[in-house]
Amino acid sequence: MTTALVTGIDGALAGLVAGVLATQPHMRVIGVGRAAPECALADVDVRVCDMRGDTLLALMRAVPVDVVAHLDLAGEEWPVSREAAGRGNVYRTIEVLGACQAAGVPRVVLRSSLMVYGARPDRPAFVAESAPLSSGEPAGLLQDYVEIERVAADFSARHSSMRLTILRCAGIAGGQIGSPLARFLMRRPAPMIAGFDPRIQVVHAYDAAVAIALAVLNDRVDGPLNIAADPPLLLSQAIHFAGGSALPLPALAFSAAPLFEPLSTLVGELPFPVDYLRYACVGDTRRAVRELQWETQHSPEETVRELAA
Amino acid sequence: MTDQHDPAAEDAAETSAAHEQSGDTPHAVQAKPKRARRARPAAPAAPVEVSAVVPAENHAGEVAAAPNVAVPSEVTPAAMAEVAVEIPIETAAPMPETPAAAADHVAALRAETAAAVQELEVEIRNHTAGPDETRTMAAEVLRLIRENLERLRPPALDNVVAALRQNVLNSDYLDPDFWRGIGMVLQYQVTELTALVQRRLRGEFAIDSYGMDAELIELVRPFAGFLYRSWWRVTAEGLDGVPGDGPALLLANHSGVLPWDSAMIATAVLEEHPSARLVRTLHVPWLAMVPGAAPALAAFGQVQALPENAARLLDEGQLVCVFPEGAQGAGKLFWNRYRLTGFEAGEYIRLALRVGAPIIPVAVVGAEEIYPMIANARPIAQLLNLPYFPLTPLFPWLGLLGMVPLPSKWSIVFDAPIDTGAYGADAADNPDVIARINEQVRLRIQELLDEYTAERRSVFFGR
Repeated sequence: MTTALVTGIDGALAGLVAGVLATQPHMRVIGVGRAAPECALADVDVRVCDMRGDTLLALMRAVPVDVVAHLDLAGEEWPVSREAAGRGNVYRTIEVLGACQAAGVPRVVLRSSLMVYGARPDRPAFVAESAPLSSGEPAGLLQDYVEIERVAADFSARHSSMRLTILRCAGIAGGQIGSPLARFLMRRPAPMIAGFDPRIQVVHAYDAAVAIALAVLNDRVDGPLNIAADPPLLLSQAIHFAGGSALPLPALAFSAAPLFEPLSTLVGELPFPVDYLRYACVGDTRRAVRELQWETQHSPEETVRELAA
Repeated sequence: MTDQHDPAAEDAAETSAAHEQSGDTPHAVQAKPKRARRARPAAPAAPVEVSAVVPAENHAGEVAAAPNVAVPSEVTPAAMAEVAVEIPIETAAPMPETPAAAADHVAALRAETAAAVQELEVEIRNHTAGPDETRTMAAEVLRLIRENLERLRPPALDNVVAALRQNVLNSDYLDPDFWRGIGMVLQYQVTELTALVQRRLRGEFAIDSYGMDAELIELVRPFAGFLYRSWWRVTAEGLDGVPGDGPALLLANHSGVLPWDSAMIATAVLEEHPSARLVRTLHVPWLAMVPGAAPALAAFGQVQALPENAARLLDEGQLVCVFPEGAQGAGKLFWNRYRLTGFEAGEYIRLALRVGAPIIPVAVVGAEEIYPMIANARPIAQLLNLPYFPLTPLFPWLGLLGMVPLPSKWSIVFDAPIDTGAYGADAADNPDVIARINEQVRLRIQELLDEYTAERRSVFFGR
C-alpha cells in the first residue's frame, strides 16, 4: 500500500491528478488544500487545513506518506495579482519540503514551468533538462518557478536521502483548466512582436495530470523532466487556433507601453517577459517519454482549439 | 455559373493532400461535366443529354471528403437546372478501378493534359492566320496554364483538368467556348491561390518540430529553380556521394554576403539528387534577433548553429549543412575571394564522428561574385547590429536594385564523402583526429576552389 499526498486539492489539476492516482490499486490518496474541491473526488481522502508547515508535518506524522505531489500554486489556474500573491508560492514550497524532510517522506514531486530556461536567441531548438535556468529578468509566476527550482536544487543537494522530481510543464490548455498561457492565447487581440513568430509548447491538462501521476507512481525517476506535447506550434498558429487574432506590434510598443495608456491596454500584462514573444523556449521531452513511459493523447492543435470552444 | 462551382473548389482545396487517395478522384474525373452554357455546335458525336444529376454527384463526392463543410446538396441540382450537361463519349477516360490507382491516374492525367496543352500551344504558334501578337499571347496563356498544372493540388487539379479537357481540348480555339474554358481554368488557379493564402492566414499549415514549413518550400521552389537553372546556371557535381538517407554532414565554404549559396546547395540536393532530400542548414544564432529573419529561416528548414541542434538533427538522420567560416566567410572583401578564413568545424566534426555520419566537403564557386564587396562600412554595421555592411558597386547606391545578385556562373562540387566510421568508436573524444579531419576538409575545399576558379574561362558566361 502506497500513500500519496496531493497538495492544493482545491485546484482542478490537483483534483485530476488525485483522481488518476485513486484509480490505481494499492494506492491511498490524501488531498490537502485550503478549501474543499468543487466536485467530490471518489476514493480521495480530502483534508481541509491551513497548509502551514507544522500542520502538514502533524498530518504526515499521523499518516505515513510515501510520496508528496506539491501542486499548490497560486496564479496558475486563476489569475492572482502580484501584490496578493507575493512570494507565497516559494514560501509554501519551502514549508512543504521542510515538512516532508522532517517527516521522512522519501519522494516529492514538484511542478514547475518549461519556461524557466528563458527565451534567448542562442537557445537550442530543444532545450534539455540539464540546461541552465534563465538568468534574465523573469517576472510574475515565472519568477516563482525559477526560485522554486533554485530552492529545490539547493534542498536536494543538502538532503540526498530525499528524491525530488520536478515536472517542468509547458503552458496548460484544454480541459477547462486555466493557465497564464491559455489566458494570453485567448486575448482578443493577442499582441505579438512584428517580425517574430516563436514556436511555443502547450500540454493538455489531462496529459499533464497523467504525467504528474506517472511521476508519483514511478519511484525510479528523479530530477527535472520536461512535459509538453510535440510538435511545437507557432505562436501565431496557436493564437488562431484559440479563436483569437494576433496583433503584431513593433518591439518599441512593448518597451513604451508603461508610458502610454492606450499602448499599455493594448499590450496588457504578459504572463512572461517580452522575450518569450521573440525567441522560442522549447523543451526536449524525450526524457519524460522514455523514463515515465508518458504519451500525450492530445495533439497541440486540438489542445489549443479547446480554448476556442 | 462558374460561381456555383467555386465554393466546392475552395472547400475541396482546404482538405488535406490525403484527399488524393480518396475514392472520389476517379469519380470527378470520370464525370467530366461540360460546364458551358450552350451545347457545343462543333460536337463531333451526338452529346448525351443528362440531367444535373451528374454534377450533383460530383459535388457530393467532393463534399463527402470534407465532412465539416456544410454545402446543402439540394441547392446544387436547382442551381444547375438550366445547365445542359453533356458527356462527350469519344473522350471518356478509362476509369481507374481502385482508389489506390487514383493517385497514379491523376499524375497520368496531369501529364497527358499538359502534353495536349503543349501541342495546342505549338499549333497556335504555327498558325498563320490572325495577328502575330494575338497568337503569341494566346500561346503564352497556354504555357502559363501548362506550367501551373504541376503546382495545383489534387482537388483543384481535378476541376482544372476536367475544364481543360471539356472546354479547351475538345473545341477549336477559334470557338468562343474555348476562351471561356481558358478563363475558367485561370479562375480555378486564382481560386486555389486565394484559398491557400486564406488557409495560411488562419494558421492552418503544418510545421515540423523545428518550424520548417514544407508547403512554403514548395511555393518558393519554382523561384529557387529559376535562380538555380537560369540565373546562375549552377552545375552540381558529385551528388552521388551524398547518401540517399541517414545522417550526413556537408561542410561548405561561405561567400556572397547573403546566404544564396546555402539556398543553392539545398536546391541542388532537392532538385538533382535522386532522393530529393531537404538540407537542414545551420545559421548563426544572432540572425534570430533580426526581425523577420527568424520566422523565415525556420520556415525554410534552417536551424541555429548550435552543437545541440546539430546533434539532434544528425541523430534524426538528417542532412546537415554547416558553413564553418560563418559570417566571416560571407562578408569577406572581394580581393579575398575564394580564400577560406577561419574554417573551424571541430564541434560539428565531433558530432559526425559520434553518429558515424559521413562528412562531405562542398566547394561553391561563383557565389563570391554575386555581390562584389568592395568595402565593409563598419560604423553602419555596428549601428544596425549587423556583422558587416557591404558596399558593392551597386549596393547601397541603387537601393533595392543593388540587392539583385549578379548572374555569375556557379559550380557546386560535392567532394567524395569522408567515412567517419573508419576512425573508430572513440575518435569523437580525440581532439587530434578532429583537428586532422578539419584540416583535411579545409585543404580539400581550398584545392577545389583553386582548381575550379582556374579552370573557368569567364566569371559570368558559360553554361
